[in-house]
Amino acid sequence: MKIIFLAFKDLKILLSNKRELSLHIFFPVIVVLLVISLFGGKPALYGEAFFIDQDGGLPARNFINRIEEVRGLKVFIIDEEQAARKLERSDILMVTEIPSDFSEKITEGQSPQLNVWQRGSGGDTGQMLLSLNRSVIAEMMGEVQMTFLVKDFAEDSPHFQEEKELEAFMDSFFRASLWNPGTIITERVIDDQKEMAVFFLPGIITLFLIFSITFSAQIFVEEKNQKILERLSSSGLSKGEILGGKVLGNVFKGTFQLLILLVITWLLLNPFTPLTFFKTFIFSLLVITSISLISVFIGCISRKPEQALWASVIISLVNSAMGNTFAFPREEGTIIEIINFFTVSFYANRGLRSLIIQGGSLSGLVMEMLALAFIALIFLVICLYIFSSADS
Amino acid sequence: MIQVKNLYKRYGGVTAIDDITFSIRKGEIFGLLGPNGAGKTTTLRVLSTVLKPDRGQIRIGGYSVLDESQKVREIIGVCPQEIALYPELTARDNLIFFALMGGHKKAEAKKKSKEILTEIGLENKGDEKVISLSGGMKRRLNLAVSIIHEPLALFMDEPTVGIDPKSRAAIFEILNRFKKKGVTIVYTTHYMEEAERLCDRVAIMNNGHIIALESPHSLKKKFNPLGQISFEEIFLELTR
Repeated sequence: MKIIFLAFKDLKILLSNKRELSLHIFFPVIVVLLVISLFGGKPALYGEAFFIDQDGGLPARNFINRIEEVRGLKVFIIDEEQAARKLERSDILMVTEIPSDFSEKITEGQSPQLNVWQRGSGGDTGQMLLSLNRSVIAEMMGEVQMTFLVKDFAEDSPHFQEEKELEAFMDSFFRASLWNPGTIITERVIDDQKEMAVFFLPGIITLFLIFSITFSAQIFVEEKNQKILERLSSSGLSKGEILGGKVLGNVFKGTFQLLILLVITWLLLNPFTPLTFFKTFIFSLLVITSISLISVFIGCISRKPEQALWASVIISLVNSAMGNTFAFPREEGTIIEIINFFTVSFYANRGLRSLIIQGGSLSGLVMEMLALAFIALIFLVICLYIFSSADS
Repeated sequence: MIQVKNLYKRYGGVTAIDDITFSIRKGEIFGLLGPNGAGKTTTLRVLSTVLKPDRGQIRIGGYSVLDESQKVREIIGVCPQEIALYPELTARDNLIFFALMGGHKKAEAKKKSKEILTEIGLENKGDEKVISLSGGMKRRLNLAVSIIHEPLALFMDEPTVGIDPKSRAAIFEILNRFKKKGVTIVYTTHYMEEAERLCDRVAIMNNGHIIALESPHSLKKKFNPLGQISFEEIFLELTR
């Protein structure tokens, strides 16, 4: 019972401190909003295509419009001078020039010419754009050829007495071909990734939990130096009760932070069903317990609050840089990948990604849960061994 | 009430307590005096079960500090030199929390906190956060937390350091009230006039040894029969 009173006291202190409380609430809101504004609802990658339109005719405009229809590609029309300057400064890597005779040639059924200026290979987007230019030109040429064929064939036909009638027919014909394309492409995204914002969500949850809980180590050291823990000890609390109370206090504070994060992300990103919310909450409790014990460990080994603060900062940074929080190692079997196995964030992120993004089940996360429980147990044993309420 | 026999403690490579023996009667106010590093605070922390001695025996209220530390903790109160309170909690919440930690039920803890706030003259400050209280009020509250569970023995480490005369007088009043109730008080201080006024007996410590153990009155009589020098001067002479 004393452990619970001790833990609730820590939560009460957090709730009574308006400044700290506002940080717990507003920081997650700001970070989630930032991620949404950066990545939310947009494709994972997008490119920019730059054109110099020397022609200005309808077919040239039609060509640019068709390029612009490609999902994720943003088209900019610039003049020759701007293009030269941007290329010189490496602001852009490739520009496509539409020559002044483009419309004339394409209307006559001749192959038009495009001029491409690029730095080096023109970058990945440039390479894709070259191929895209070719296919759009081929598509437009095919349509012109088809129109000529139909025109020749229809010369003696009573159906097309006027040029306009033929144009209207061909237009409807090409539109119909767009609605019923010869090749149907079905997009199937690996890992069922919804949006980049949701993709980052597990990392954000893990990081906030690590930051907010490990930073409690400072308070632990302050209480130790202020002889509050000593007073608790002389009040009759055993070493285990004091440590248990501090760990449970961290768990309460971590759970409070978690609920804020989950509610904010549910409201802003809507990534959960009630079931995935529940599973995420349960799994996160194990993550919180592991981090809470690491926080108490930092408190046990630090003599000054500043030392605890630095230890928390370093642990938080290592866990954000490693553990597949926001990036994955490029190659397998590297040292980075091996170090990843020793971070809490690795197991936390794997579990949360499985639950939130892939809709996985808790039973599929036995390895991750065992790893987190093992981390918690190891730090509990170490803390029980090294903790002393007095600096003896 | 308290028996200490051949107590020895090394601390950070230094002998902090070197074979000291003394006993304290029930209801006595016992002063531990000495210069910085004399071993007063270490003695107090060993008596209050916070530190373990390397050698020696201590019994408080019939319980062995080494073998029955939990029993000892139930009958003692400790008032550290530091303000060992939660600054973000109110005075009342601090009292209730430590009463709960001392084993009181919640309703009882609330009742006790109300009584003790009146006793230390902070009945109007109960709902204020500790961080907003004055230094003297914090000291009084620090003492109140250590007596809320009505201990039989109270250990105090320089409880009046850096406070105003009013708060000091309030603390003396509380201690005298406790003495009348039969509570044994062990008290360390640097203020000689305070020790002379409050303590029944004092032990003067230097380099981990007890170099004098008598009542202030006897010490004055012994070292200054003509009454020409003060108690403080006697202390300085002994600890030179």
